[in-house]
Amino acid sequence: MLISHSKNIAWRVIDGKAYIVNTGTSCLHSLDEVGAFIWQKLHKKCSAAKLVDLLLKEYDVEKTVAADDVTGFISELKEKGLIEIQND
Amino acid sequence: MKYKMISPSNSLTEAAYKNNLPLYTVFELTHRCNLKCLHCYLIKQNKSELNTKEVKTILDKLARAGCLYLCFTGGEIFLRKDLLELCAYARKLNFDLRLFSNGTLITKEHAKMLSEIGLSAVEISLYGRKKSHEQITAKNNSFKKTLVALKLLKKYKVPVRIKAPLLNINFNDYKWLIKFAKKNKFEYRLDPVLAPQNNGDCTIQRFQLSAEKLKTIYTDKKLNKYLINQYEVSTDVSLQDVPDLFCNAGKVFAGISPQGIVYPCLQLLYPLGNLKNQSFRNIWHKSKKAKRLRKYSTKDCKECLKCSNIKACRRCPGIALLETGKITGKSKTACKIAEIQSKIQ
Repeated sequence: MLISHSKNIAWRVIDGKAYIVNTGTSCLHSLDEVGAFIWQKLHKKCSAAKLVDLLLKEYDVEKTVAADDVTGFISELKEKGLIEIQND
Repeated sequence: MKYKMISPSNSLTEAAYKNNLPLYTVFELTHRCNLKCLHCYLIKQNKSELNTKEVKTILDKLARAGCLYLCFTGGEIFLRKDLLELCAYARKLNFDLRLFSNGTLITKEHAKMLSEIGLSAVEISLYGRKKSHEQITAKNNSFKKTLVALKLLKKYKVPVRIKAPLLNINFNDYKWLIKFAKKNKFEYRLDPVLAPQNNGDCTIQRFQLSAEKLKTIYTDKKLNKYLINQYEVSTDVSLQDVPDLFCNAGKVFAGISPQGIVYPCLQLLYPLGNLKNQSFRNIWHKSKKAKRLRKYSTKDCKECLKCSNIKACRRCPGIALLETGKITGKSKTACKIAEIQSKIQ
């Protein structure tokens, strides 16, 4: 499973936070610093496992906690139409 | 550790204000136009325009400076052969992109491409039914061409907003415009305020609605939220304290001319620098003019402080500058509207 930004979004990272517009709905969403870290990695297609690895390198966190959080986070981004998920 | 989605709008506005980011930027790509609209504020000049590479370099600078909401306007932007290339480039830089156009040059291919590029909206100037529309554009057949563009954009699912200034010529068409927009599921915005031309010539303001017609517009409850910008909240004046007589121009709002000149807003012709030979950072964050502009506040508008209609005033510093030669000047246009708004209460 590969994850990447949706086509119809616009975004900036300002003061460490990511602000994302779904241009189809004009809805603005924002992510805290950890969310913004993951978000920027999705500029190119990336697997959930790779995201967990990147998080472990950057933050002091248990692998199981990081994996659970990434799963929940991806699900939320998908629900809001901000990412596309492509099966391998 | 937890990755959270946070409340977006307040924190973005706060961050933009705190850092004076040009969050909203309107970029004039050309002053050339194929119509001759009676109310147009642009002055016909034969100045050279930024080329494709120069525009792209400026877009890079804007993206780095924190601009998120970008609008391309003109003149008529579809006169630029590189427009679609510039749109695609802007979207690659992750801008939320919106276009202002009269629609007359939009083809099926344009509509298809714009759909793929992914715009926030194309805002099309439509002034009313054929007779009023073409009286304003001074061009036969322009109504039909604009309607064809609207149809194409709708077909290819490009979001559309119809917009129109309300002049004494098309006042009787405003209900038709609303009906047309609703029928086609287009957004719409109407603007009853006419700015002078960019050289300060106020003669185009002869097309401004009379006080009686303005009153009709401002008391039309269904219309009120669809009026553009500074006047849209004015019916709630009784709830307001003395308003800020300055706006977001130069704080979180920027304008760029076809020659690369940076303004606080395209309506506020107070040039801050030129991106062809200066960095955005130097112009926006370091220039004395930009810093001075941000220091202006209501108390500097000394003539306005005594005005009994101040609570209803939504003065535009740019129009005040054109009318009086001073950013802090008393704007005749704002006075007229504020007087009407005050009487409505």
